[in-house]
Formats: sequence, structure tokens, C-alpha cells
Amino acid sequence: MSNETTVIGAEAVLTGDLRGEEDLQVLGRVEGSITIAGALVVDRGAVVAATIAAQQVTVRGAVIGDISCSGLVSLESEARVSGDIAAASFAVQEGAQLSGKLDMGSGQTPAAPVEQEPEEPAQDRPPRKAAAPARKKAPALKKAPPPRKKAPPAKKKAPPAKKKAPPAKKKAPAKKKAAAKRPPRPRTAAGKKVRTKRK
Amino acid sequence: MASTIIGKSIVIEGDVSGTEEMLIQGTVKGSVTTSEDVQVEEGAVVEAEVEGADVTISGQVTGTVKASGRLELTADGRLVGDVKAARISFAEGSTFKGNVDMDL
Repeated sequence: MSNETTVIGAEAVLTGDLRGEEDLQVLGRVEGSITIAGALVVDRGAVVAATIAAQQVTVRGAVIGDISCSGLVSLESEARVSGDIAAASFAVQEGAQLSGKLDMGSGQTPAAPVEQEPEEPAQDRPPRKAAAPARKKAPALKKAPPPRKKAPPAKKKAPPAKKKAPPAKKKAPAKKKAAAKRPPRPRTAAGKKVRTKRK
Repeated sequence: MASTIIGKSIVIEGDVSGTEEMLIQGTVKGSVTTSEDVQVEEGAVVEAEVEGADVTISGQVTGTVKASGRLELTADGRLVGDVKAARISFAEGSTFKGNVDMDL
């Protein structure tokens, strides 16, 4: 368990630069910089006078310096932060003190190893969006052709309707004298002529 | 129960000091100073002055080591540097290069 978490104890002072790819808990004092691809906890009583870059930052103690975080920065009630915070998301408990600028949503700050992993989910999202439209486009293309195929049959159906129409007009010529006269005239006339001739 | 733990993936360039036990699994370049015990575990790389009460080295240390109590070099331990210690214990298989001063 302890192998996976680095601890700067309450009675310890670190002066310099710390970097790594694991979680870090600070109970004591750190001066310099902290760059980790993991979660940082600045616990009660801890004093971190350092530039911080981490995937997740939880502050219960004091931080003097800028924090850039690709994930969540959480300031708990006893937190005191003096410095700028750039984070993807941000949470503050009542009682926490913050003095500095707050930049939310970006979280893409110059922390080499730390920012890469969080950016991946961000990159995954656009592809999903891109993939979704692509899927929408694909069906749309599939849908588009069918209407073309369907359209011809409609044309085929239309002619029979014309063929059917004449007989109807023949059966009831008297009812549609005014409305049906124009088109029927040639046909009916021809039909009448034919029939009349036959009759 | 070491109070301060420097994990495997951690690299520190600077000074670590305190009044509590320190367990080093990663890399420290600079100095490690404590009034309590220091343990440099296997795989750890310490290019620093190390000062503590009892100092146990299973990893690799390059630098001066001062132990107010005992310096122990385990079979996996490698030490290049001078030693000042009240008592010393070098296990068979360990590697050491430097001077020993036991006048403390």
C-alpha cells in the first residue's frame, strides 16, 4: 500500500523539485515544485510553497504557489491557497481561503506527463462526437438512395392511375361534366367516337 | 512505519530533511537529513549526502553517509562514498567503495 503513495511526513521538509507518477501526500513542508501524474493531497498542517502540477489536488493545508491540475482541485474547509489555479474542475468547501486567479475548464497547462492522460479523455470525447455524426451521415446516405428507388415505382404506379382514371370517367361522365371535361375531352371524345362508331 | 516515503516513481532533486524516519524507494539527488532512521530500499537511487540515526542501504547510494547509530549495507546494497558511523554492518554481497570513519 505504502509503496504506491509517497508521503512527505509532518516532520519533514523537502526543498527542491519533486516529480513522479504516483500519488503524493504532503503532511510536512515542501518548497520548490511538485509535478506528478497522480493525486496530490496537501494535508492539514502541511505547507507547500511550490508550483504544483498534478492530475488531482486536494488541499486541507496551505499552498503558496500556482496549481495546474488536469482534473479536480478540491479545497476543503481548512485550505488556504495563495496562487493561481488552473483546473478542469474545481470544488471549494465553506471556510476555504483562496487568493488568486481561477481558471476552470482549461486544465491544459504546461505539465508534461501529468496533462497527457487527462487530455486523452478530452480527445476521446471529440472522436465520439465525430463518430456520432459519421454514423448519422452513413444512415442518411443509406436512406437517401431508397427514396430514389421508391420514386420510380411511384412513377410506375402513377401511369396505371391514369389508365384507371379514364374508365372511371367513362362510367360517370355525367357527374363530372364541368371539372373533368378538359382532360377527358380528347379521350372521351375518342372513346365516344370509337364506341359510337362501334355502336 | 516510516513517516516519510519517497515512492518508486518519484524523483527529487533537492534536499529532504526532517526529524522522522525516511523510506526511500525512488530517486533523490541532493541530500537526505534526518535525526531518525533512513532506509534506502532496493531499486532506490540516492545521489546525495545521507544523514540519519540508523541508516540501512539496500539500494544504490552515491555520497557521504553519516549515521549516528548504525550503518547497515545489505546484500543488495551498493555504496560509493565515505562513511561516518558509530557501528557498521556490511552484508556479504554488498558493494562499498570509500573511507570509513568510526570516530563518531
